[in-house]
Amino acid sequence: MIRKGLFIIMVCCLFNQILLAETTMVRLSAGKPVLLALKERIDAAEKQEGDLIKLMVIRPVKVDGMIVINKGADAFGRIAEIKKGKSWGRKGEFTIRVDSVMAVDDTELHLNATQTKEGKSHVGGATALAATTGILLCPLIAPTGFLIKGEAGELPVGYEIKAYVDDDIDVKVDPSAQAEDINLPPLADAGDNQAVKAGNLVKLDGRRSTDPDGGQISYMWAFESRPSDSSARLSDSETATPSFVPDAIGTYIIKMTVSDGKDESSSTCTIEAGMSDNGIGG
Amino acid sequence: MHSLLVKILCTISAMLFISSIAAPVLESFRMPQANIIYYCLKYICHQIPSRCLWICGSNAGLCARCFGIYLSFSIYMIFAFFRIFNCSKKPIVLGVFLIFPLLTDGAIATTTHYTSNNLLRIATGILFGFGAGLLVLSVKQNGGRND
Repeated sequence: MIRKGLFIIMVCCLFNQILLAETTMVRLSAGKPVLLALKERIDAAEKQEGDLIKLMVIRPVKVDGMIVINKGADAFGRIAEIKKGKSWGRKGEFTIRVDSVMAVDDTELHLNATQTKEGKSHVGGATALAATTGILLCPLIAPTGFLIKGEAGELPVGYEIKAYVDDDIDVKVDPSAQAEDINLPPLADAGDNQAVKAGNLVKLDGRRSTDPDGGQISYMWAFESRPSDSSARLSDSETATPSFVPDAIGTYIIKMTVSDGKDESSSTCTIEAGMSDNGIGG
Repeated sequence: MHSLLVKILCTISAMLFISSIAAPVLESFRMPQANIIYYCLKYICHQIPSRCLWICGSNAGLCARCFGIYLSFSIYMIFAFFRIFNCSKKPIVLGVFLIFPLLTDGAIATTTHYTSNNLLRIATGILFGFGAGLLVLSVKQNGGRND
């Protein structure tokens, strides 16, 4: 009888230990840094205030040796402010604000980080144009420099932002979880969309793609769609910088897939081919 | 004059190195001074977090390369001040030899798809720091003799 009682108590203790070991609450303090990377390129010229920005955690966040935010966890932010490039070549700037990240227990944690990026200034060019036209042509049209606008700025894919946890929060964690070996997928950027003349060589550029783990990436380009009468072929389609000649007027959508050997991600770019000078495509 | 130069260089590089460690430590204690240090060091180094050493859950104020450079440069200057290490045979050749790995690593990473790692960055940075210290002092000594 006593043996049975002791056995039951031991079994209960064992179950209790197992249940306790499965999850533990830990406090994530405000101010804890979280390292994030942009999942997409941000070109302020194509964005508006309030637009969503996708980021991911590239370094696990630990408290007392336990992982509270996994490597690869999704984080979100918004375009807080955009100042477009101004006349006379004055540069613009934009600010992004990181809002939240998902913890290991799927709790949404509020983050605090802002990143301001300035564009390029073309003040020198605008002034030079105004001076040149003023001297050579006519002082009345000298203010042509007014037409030159500065750039609003852009941030490349993979750009790192250090955010901070905004409030103290309790997170349910699994003490045995190990996330060190999680492979982050490469971040693909197929480059800018282009408008070209049919018959002219188009150079594509995927060199802005990156692997957040710092590994090597391989490239694979292919037409996702092209005009029905086109038989264009991509040359060097397994390099970062392939090229092709659009042989028909229309829209070419090219998909670039990058791989780090374990994971893949893809991005597309659009090439608008118009009427060429020698009539190709027409 | 020679020891004054050594003192100044040693102080500057040691301050940078210590500040680089102090920034994440202060940040872990939520002290606002950390932000000031990060802000100041930003003028010296890009501070890309994944290319920095992480201390107390945050990135150092200098990248792994700069961290190695200022660490070894200040150590070399301390050695030079106390005359613990004196390279009298072809210091310039040895200096160039030591800075070469960092230049190679940086150049290849810039021009190709090769990506360096923090261990390599800090190792080449340490060599560069010793090499730079050797070059600076040997050039100074040679200049002094010529005068």
